[in-house]
Amino acid sequence: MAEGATTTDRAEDSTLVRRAKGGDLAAFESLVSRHEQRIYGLARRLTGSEEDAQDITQQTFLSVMRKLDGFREAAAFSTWLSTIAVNTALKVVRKRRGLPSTSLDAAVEPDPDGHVPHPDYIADWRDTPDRLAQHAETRKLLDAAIAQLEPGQRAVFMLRDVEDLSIRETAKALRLSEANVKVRLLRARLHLRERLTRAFGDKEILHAHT
Amino acid sequence: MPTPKKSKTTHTIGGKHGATCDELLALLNEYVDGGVDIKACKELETHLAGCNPCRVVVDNIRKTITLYRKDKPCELPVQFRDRLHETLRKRWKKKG
Repeated sequence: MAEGATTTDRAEDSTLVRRAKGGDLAAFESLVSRHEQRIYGLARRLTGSEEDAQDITQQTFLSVMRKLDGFREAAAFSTWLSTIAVNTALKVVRKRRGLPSTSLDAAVEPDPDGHVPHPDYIADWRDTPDRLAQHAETRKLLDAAIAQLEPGQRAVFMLRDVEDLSIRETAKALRLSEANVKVRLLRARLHLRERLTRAFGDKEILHAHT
Repeated sequence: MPTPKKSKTTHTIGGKHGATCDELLALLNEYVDGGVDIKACKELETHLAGCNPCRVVVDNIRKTITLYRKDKPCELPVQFRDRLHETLRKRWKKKG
């Protein structure tokens, strides 16, 4: 729901949060039902594994249950929830890779201010995103392209571009500086553009500087 | 901004067409997100008007973001959903 969440969505979440804080299980379950598909999809994209996605979804909602009383609604519920889910997913990814559970800065990308690769394969896409999204093949390509990103870049891209968090919210969620988020976001966008353009680009009309 | 496909020369336009390809790359996030100031935006758009590869790259990036936003990866398995709610109900009752 974070993606394009409306004022009405936020107000309904807010009402349910207050009822759940008051001990209303049905309200808590409604919150879960409203967001479970989105959180599962987010976890699936971040880990590339159905099993991990289920585990992360469950851990996320158990964390929400534990932390709900302390949630002061400084951010939207959907933003708070995405933050918990992404950090839970990163823990799972680090564990799988045998990395320590330290900050993202130390654990994943030691050179966040380094070189940004220039676009290489430049071509107009053969089809619109709307039509591409209807093909099962597209999902596989999107999964494969995002799986090649470092976990930190993946998390930044998903929070900023798919879940619609601001740069500041993304930085806060991942405990990174805003500058670091911007570098990761640029690298992620350029990488994904490159991969997807190689798949969806019109090979007859390649653009190159002469 | 984009490196030529065959030649390794980095494309820069200098003052002739406003910003350069590298300047566009440096401000690409902000430009795509609509976060550059009016003056910089005008310079970038002057550059884009004369640089087809850069224009295509910007368009590709916008489409990439749109596609990830539109694609909903995998439905939540029904059995898992039932299990999840059951677990949450049990835990809720335990916490009292």
